[in-house]
Amino acid sequence: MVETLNSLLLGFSVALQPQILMYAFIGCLIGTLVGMLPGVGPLAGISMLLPATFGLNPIIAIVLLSGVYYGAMYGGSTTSILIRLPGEAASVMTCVDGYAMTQQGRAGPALAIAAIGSFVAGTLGVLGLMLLAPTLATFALRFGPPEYTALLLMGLLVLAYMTGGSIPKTLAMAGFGLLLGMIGIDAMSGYTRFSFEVIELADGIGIVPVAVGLFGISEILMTASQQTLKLPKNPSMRELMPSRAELKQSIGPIARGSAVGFLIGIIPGSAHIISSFISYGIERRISKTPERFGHGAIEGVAGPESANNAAATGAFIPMMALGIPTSPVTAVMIAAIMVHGIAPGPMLIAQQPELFWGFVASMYVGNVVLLILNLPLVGLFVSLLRIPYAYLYPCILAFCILGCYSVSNSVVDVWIMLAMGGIGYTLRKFGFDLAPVALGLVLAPMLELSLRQSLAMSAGNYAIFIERPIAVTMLGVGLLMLLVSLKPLLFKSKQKDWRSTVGLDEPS
Amino acid sequence: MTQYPYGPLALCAMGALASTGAAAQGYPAKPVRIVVPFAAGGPADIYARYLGQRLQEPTGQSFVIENRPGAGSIIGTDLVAKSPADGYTLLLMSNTHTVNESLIPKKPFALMKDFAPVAPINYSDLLLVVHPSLPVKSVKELLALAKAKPKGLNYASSGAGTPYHMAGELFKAMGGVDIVHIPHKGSSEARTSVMSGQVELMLDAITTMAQLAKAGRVRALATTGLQRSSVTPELPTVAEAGVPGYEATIWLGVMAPVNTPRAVLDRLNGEITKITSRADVRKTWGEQGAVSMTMSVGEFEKYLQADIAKWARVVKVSGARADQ
Repeated sequence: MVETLNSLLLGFSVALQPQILMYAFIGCLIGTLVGMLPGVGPLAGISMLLPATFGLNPIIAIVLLSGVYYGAMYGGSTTSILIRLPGEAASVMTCVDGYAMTQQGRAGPALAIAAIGSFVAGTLGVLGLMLLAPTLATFALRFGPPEYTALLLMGLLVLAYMTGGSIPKTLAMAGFGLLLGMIGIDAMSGYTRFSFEVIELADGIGIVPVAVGLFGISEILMTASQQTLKLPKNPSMRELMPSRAELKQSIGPIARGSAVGFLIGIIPGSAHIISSFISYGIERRISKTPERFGHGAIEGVAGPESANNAAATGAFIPMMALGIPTSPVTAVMIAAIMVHGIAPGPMLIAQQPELFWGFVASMYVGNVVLLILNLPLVGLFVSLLRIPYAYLYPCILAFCILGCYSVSNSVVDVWIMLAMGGIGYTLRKFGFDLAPVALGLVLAPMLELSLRQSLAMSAGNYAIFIERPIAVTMLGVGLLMLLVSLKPLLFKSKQKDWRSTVGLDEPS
Repeated sequence: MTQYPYGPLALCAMGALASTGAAAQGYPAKPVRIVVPFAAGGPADIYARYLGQRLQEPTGQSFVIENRPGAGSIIGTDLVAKSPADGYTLLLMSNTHTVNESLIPKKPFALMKDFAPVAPINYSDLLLVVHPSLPVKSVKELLALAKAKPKGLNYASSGAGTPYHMAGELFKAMGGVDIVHIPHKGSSEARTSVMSGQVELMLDAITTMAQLAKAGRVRALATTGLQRSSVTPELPTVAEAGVPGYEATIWLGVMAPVNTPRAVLDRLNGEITKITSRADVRKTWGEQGAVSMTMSVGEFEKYLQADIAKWARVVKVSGARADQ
């Protein structure tokens, strides 16, 4: 413990140097902007910045890039809440209740709770990174393809809790998302599927153009089709901050979101994207008033926003403790320090204590910077809504197109986004929920690859899923969740279903 | 292949030398972009940027790196194929491209028809590693174990058709063993699988793997070049240790759209060769496990053809071809 404190002191002595402090601030600022721009996610942001870090020293490079990464997690919520536009994949769930809150004139509290939740989760995450990195990294390595398959199956079951709408409609949307996820080169065989000779489709359909189209563009179309525009009322300064009751409601979701996000974040691979979906599912499931979800429940913002920040921090654990990148974002960061001749490896923390502890300390500093940066801006962001739609929406549309194009300089992505906007508009007119599409699209390629990797490893024997303790535990929990969610379908309870109390049909 | 596929190009180039010699002398008159059809931060990207920076001094123009990853390099490569052949759009390529010639016949371009060779950059050895729990200490023991249990051992790769996959297929074919390919999404996920023992072995870039081997996370058995690597001089090559003639490296090179004036190709070749011959460059690369390659335009062309033919044989033997 004393040793940890000493090391942390060393870290702060590095992180509080004016130059490094300045770069942490710049990183956080760029990250916030990157998160806000639709389409440009953290990966695109740090890839673009990477060449600029080659001339800096490695500590600065990593402080700058990690600032961009978790800054994006803060910024991503802003556009989701204000204009229903997910800035990056992790903030898709925030669109649902965050935007509903904006429509009720509660954009301020939604933005504030997102910033507070992100801060708490980020700080808890760094604490976990500092104290548990080596232990957790060893645990994370036990996650092979079978465990991954089990985790993703659990993620799929979360669908059942995600919306209050009818189950067939939810399943149809999830199926649509899963089908979209099938497009592209099959990683196992190299066959190209459903690409219709469009080479850009060979790489699959990205979550970003789909999410921006389904949520953002469809909202613009919805607004345009309304005859009388309801302007969100201008909130007073006092209404910008969450009330005491709202803060109390958010404590649980923030704590659970942080824990869930952190645990999912340390798993190698790209599973961290599903952390916000899982957090939302959990909150809706354990809530006493699940009918409020989708109509402006603050828990539906606090949970997912905390989860995605904790996951972002958790993802650094395998990178730092083992010295190997386990996700595309951390791979770019490893490249940034490799350029400086620092060899990544399991000895990184021991050989480069200044780098590791400076990095840890800079994350404490960065989270404070982001909170300071984001809370006062809440008022500014909310007043953006006063811009008349006639000016605001064309600008948003232009930003969407620019953002989607710039991710991979591909016009095909822009067409996908626009098509998804039309599809999203139509589906919403028919009362379909769109979040399951996004989850399906995220899950399909990962689930397929891990399932087939598992079966290749076991020469086609499904027993591999029950021979491995972590996998079988997760599958068991998932099965239990499925049964619990099926219960009201199989046995009609004597009490009236909650759905009937809010004027919805009971599921049949 | 004895036929010379660049007949038209040669004529064209001669014409270009005669008529637009002045234009070629003025090259480059504006910034040049190098399209890297791989993700930012990967070895191809890092070496492209390294080269781009150093090309700026002698030419006085900036060489801008543009990452266009996706679909196993096809998206970015196709972009260059469709760009004007004026020397201002170049392709950073690797043996992924020569493998793809036989692995993915249905693609919108053909390497030797749509591109003109400029110069090779460098090659890196791969390191054959196994998880420490696997009871083998040498290539011979690995071959014996694999022969004792056919389909019992798995090897990881960063995806179907990547040099890592092909190195594994070549090992299967030349070593006469039946090991199972487990593709991953990207080399870092593949690396994680081998370190954690989910998959038993892998042929991976020496830069990263040598560090993991030193820390005891994996056991290194051999390197895959024809000569021992400067990074791990104590390790034998696969060819020495049990599979005679085995060679599988990752090499990088530069190509331009076909019909790019020969004078421009030669100018670029000269500048790149000057950089790859520099002692300080060789030293830096050597520490990372990369070895400079220097060839004239003509030599590079022959090298490309030989490499395409080599991988065509491997793809045929292994049956790894995707779009039949």
